[in-house]
Amino acid sequence: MIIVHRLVRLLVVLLVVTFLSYALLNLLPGDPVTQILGLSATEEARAQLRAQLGLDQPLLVRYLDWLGGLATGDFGESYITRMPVAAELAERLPVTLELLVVAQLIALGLAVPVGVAAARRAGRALDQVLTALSFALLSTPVFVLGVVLILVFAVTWQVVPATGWTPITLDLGWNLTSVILPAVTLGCGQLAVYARLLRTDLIATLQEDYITLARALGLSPRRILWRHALRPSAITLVTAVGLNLGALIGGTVIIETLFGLPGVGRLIVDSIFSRDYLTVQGGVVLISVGYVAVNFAVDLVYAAVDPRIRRA
Amino acid sequence: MRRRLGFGFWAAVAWIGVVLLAALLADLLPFPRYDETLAGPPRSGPSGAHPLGTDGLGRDMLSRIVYGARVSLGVGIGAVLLGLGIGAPLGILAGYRRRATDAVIMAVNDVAQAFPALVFALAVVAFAGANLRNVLIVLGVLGVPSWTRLIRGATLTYAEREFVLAARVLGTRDRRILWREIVPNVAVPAASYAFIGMAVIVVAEGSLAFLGLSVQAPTPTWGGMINEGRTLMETAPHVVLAPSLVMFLTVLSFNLVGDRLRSLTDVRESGLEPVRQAAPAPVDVDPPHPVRDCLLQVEDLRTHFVTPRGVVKAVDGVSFTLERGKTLAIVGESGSGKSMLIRSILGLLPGNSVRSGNVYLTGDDLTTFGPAEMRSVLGPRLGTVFQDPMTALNPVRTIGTQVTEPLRVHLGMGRRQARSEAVRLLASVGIPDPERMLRRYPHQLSGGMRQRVTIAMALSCGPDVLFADEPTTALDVTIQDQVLRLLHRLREERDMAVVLVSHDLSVVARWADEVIVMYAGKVVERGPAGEVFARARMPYTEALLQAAPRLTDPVHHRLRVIPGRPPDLTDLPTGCAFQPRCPYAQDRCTIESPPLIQDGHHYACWHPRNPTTKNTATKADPVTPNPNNRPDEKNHVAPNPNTRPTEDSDHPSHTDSHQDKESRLPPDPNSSLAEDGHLPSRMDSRPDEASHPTPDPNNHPTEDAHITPNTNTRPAEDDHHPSRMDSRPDEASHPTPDPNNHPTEDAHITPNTDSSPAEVGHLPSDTNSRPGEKSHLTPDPNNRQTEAVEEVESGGR
Repeated sequence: MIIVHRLVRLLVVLLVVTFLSYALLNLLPGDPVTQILGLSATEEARAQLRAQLGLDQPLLVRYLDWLGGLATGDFGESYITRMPVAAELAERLPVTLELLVVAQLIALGLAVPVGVAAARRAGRALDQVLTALSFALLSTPVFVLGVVLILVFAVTWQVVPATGWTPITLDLGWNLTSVILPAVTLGCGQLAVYARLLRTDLIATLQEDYITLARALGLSPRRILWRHALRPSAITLVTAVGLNLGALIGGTVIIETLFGLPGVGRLIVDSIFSRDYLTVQGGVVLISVGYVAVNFAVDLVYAAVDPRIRRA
Repeated sequence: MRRRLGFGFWAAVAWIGVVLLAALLADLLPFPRYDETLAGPPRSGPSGAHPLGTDGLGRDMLSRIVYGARVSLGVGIGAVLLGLGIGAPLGILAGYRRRATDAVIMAVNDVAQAFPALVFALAVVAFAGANLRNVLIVLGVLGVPSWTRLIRGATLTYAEREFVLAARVLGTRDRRILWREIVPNVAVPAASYAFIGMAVIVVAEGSLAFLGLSVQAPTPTWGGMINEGRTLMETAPHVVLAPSLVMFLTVLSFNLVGDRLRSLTDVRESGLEPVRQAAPAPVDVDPPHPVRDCLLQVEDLRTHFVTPRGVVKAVDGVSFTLERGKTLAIVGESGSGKSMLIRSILGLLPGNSVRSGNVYLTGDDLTTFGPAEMRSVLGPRLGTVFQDPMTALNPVRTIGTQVTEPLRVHLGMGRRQARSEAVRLLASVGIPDPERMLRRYPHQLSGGMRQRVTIAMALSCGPDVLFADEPTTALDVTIQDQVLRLLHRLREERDMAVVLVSHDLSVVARWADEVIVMYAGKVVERGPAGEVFARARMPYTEALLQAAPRLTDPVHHRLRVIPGRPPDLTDLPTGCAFQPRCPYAQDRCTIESPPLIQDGHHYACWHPRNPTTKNTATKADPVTPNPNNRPDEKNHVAPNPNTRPTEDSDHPSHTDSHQDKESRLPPDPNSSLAEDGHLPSRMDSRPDEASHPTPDPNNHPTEDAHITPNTNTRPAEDDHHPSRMDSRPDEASHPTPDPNNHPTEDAHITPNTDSSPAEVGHLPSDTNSRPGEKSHLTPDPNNRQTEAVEEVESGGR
């Protein structure tokens, strides 16, 4: 019952988001017709192309038409390249997903030990250094961090390429060298967020009675931290990871631009510049669905982390 | 409470000030204009003429950065003001008027979160034109959902606070409440968010500029400069590094200022601030003392906490010995140091504590043990059961994992062996179907079952001493007895010693061999249980005994309290710590602290009670000889399960009782009884309707009825209402006769509205013509919040 309720709610959210974005994109000034035909085209040619693309229909009709296609997996056709939008997205999605997953792995892989180390010595020197570092990292815009990393690792030391992408199907090793720098850039900001969240929650958990009981049973601090305290402290972290994964599907534009990666974000930006509404709209759907799906997955993970939630 | 903001905060403020000033005065500063090409040789590094070097076109970097700050800060400030301007009113409204508005806001929020904001910022700016105004509007509007959410959250925490509720109940107009109570309080968190929001906007603007979608060239922007500088990274890295560094410092500064401001108001974080420790002074040099041949010997144990308010002497020179097969009870009010004594013995103290003295376990001094040695003792030799089984078990681990863990860690058992041992343990503490229990989680168990599980865990490695820290306080009365019986049985079976901490004398009287009475961290009386109970010497012990109600008490006895409250441990009174509350205190008590002396048993008192004064003889005496010693809800000593906290009878002053609901400083013991059912004090007289302004004996808290089943209890709905209500309609007595029309929020402030408002409210007075005013003072103070306040203010009319 609750699941049905949630699903309905998420579906409504999807509808609202797609309609709003559809309307907004179409109401903004600018026109794909001009983009395709150039400024010198005659009014007849424009009208003809407009009819051909279906742009002469009222907004609501076009939206419903598009929505109907969406239900069958048809995202429409790009105005510019005349390629199916779905195919273009499918081509770009793996790049973005790989970037995201590697970035989250790096962020989580470092954030957990850092958060645990800081919480264990809360208030001491190590904690203060780690907290200050994560604060600084948090305040670094991704493009600033990316530029610095490129400067150090690609320009000065030349251990990885500055830009470019090698698909994983082509060569695994090259693929990894092309993903590592952008992933680190993206992951660093998240690392700071995650470590701070985990530290705060862990400190709160360590005040709990059951931790005192574990100490009274003569269990070692290491065991108490990792086996007793970590999991009850992970709820906020799980939420944050989920929200980030959802939000970042379209939010890697900067990274993809900076490192020249052919991902979804780059596709959306290019489509915006060329007024390719349907491709942008396809990207919006991808992002919203991603957000909704991740939200749903987070609920499932909650139950795994905290058995008390399983009752619901 | 104001805390120091720290050096970093002021450095950040200074940096923001410098950038802001430079941006404002850019035209007056002595450097080339931002668009003047070939102001110096292209791509030259920092020099005297060009402190930050020049870019690819020979333009001065410093000048460009300063002019770029205009865009960054302008957009930052403008967008934050725009977002706050729209979001703050919405958020306050949503937080204050919940229900419908709240639902709408949350729905919008859902959409907003799924909405790809960055894509839209890009689209709008790309389509509508990349200029300062558009960037500012887009970033401002996109921030509105976040602002609404944040301000709503801040408002929510205040909308539920007492002062707002009180204002509402008093009928203050909403607008007035919003402006006078809510807005000033929300302003501080809003300001901190504004700084953090500024950082977010500066980054967002930078991102747009980096993609070429902010203010267009030739106007410089930080993001744009970083983007352009990328191409020169190999030959002139300063072109990209200079704006990067400035941007980083600016964002960091905004974040830092916002974070510090937030931590000023954030309760949760402030609790975690490390305590600045004064170098812990060594407390005392151990006096030499004989190590006796017994199971547990504690010698002059002291635990002091170094807090910002001063040194707290939580445990102050406690000594005792304990033999195998005996139960030692430690008794005292909350805050007397009982639990801290246990933690000191076990070495489970927080970081800001200093411990001295010795703890010998069969001759080995535990205070000399290192952490690893101590761990080998905890569990196998010393077992512990805590007060609240609801919080003592880890919510995310199964019972099986938790019970088997000590077995595997300490006894090196394998998984299967530990599991079968766990089944045996759970069975031995009376848990039915232990096999199934292993797979369960704590939340699936009742409180009594959970406490049995923690007992099983404490016993798992066969300890010599079991410490039970108020093991039954959090449990139901019927369960309490079972658990205590179980502990006793296990002590017999396993030949353990038990240290039983309790504030409940009925528990102690039944199961203890020895008793220690603690007050303010010190032992004030110590001896064999029978003797201490029969001949309490210390007035505090006597008061504790008297505060415990008995089954033999007449039904309508008022429960007795110990006047006053436990002392502030950072600021102990001179002389005897109990002296300010002691009815027998004399001059000497205020000057000299009494030592623990032996006379029959040990006690610390200059004027011990007459040995012939049996506590039974004092039973009916009215207590509270010292009118200045007001009872306080804190000192709940002994809610005796066997006796019903009897009702309110004799009310010395009605306005007082109203007042105490308001001020929470109950001058009348009845009110503390009403508050939480503890601290009953006994009084003789049955309420006399004819002579008493408080006519309703039903005014006692009904919730106690199910906690303390008492066969003597009269039916909760009393017999006398119908007739009285019939005979005397209340029109004359009360301006607002309907008790049901009181705002429901009252329940938060005054927990004791549960005393059946319907009857109470309609019971204006007794039939015998009492003056109307008097009677409507009485029915139920809690249902009449507003009037109570008015009455107090107007001096009871």
